[in-house]
Amino acid sequence: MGEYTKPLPHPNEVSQPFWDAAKRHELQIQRCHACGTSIFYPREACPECLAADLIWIPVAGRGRLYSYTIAQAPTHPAFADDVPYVIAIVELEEGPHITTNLVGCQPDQVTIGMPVVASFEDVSAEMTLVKFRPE
Amino acid sequence: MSIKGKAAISGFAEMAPQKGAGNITPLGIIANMAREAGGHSSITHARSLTTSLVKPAAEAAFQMAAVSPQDMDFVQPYDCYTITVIVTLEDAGFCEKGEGGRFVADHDLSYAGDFPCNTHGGQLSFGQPGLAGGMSHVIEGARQLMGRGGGRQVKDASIGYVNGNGGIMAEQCSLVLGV
Repeated sequence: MGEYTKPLPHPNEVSQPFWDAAKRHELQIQRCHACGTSIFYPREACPECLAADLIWIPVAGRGRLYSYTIAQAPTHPAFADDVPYVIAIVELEEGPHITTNLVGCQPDQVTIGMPVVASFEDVSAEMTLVKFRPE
Repeated sequence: MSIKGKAAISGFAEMAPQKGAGNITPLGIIANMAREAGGHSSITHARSLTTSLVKPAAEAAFQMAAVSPQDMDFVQPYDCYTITVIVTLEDAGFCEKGEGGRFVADHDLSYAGDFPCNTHGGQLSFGQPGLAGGMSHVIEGARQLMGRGGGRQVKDASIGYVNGNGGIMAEQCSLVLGV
């Protein structure tokens, strides 16, 4: 594995379980134990009912492409060789939206609503990123 | 999460007659206000990118005031971007969803037009001065109702719609102002 030169996430105590699961190639999101809402991004309290009783649940990582944009110019020098690439919002089956990259798909083949599934990219010994590809 | 309220705005010092503090006249403007807040920060996590929280906020404000969008003499929607105005007009019920672009193209949005919109020029005109930006729309609505619009006075303005946006479309506050 070559040295990864792109910006890396900075897990904190709230988001650490998400990154730990990604490392196992597993997608986990939170669920509110009080009202049942499925939650992403990782939070300290439920955005619907404000309960702090949130649990982590594994999910299948399936969803559909909710929206996307195609980056024709890199927003950071480290992404220069990747253009054009797809920045996507995926709506998980469980409901929440997740910001990600769509990979394994030519930009001109992307369509809103297409079924997608989580794809895990080990970018360093410590970090695995969650991307999505066409299912 | 929603908050609703009614208030009588009794005076804006900045607008008061310049004859001395004793001469400030209550404006008698009634404000029906409804606010809706989502649980998101980035718009990525909003439930919908196309239908905003303006919809429940405006519906509640119009219901409280017992009027409809078509009764408005003017609108002062928060305008951090042009699309914000169009989404606001659609979700507040001034036109159908998806028709906002056509709607603003087909109407005269000037103070003398058939759909006076942001008669003070709005933030798209004078910039986005932080929290003061949203208040500028309220102040302009009050000025129009007081007949103090000067060279941009909307003729016979007696009721108008004001909308404020917070976060990245994360919360919306709709006001129906009337005299």
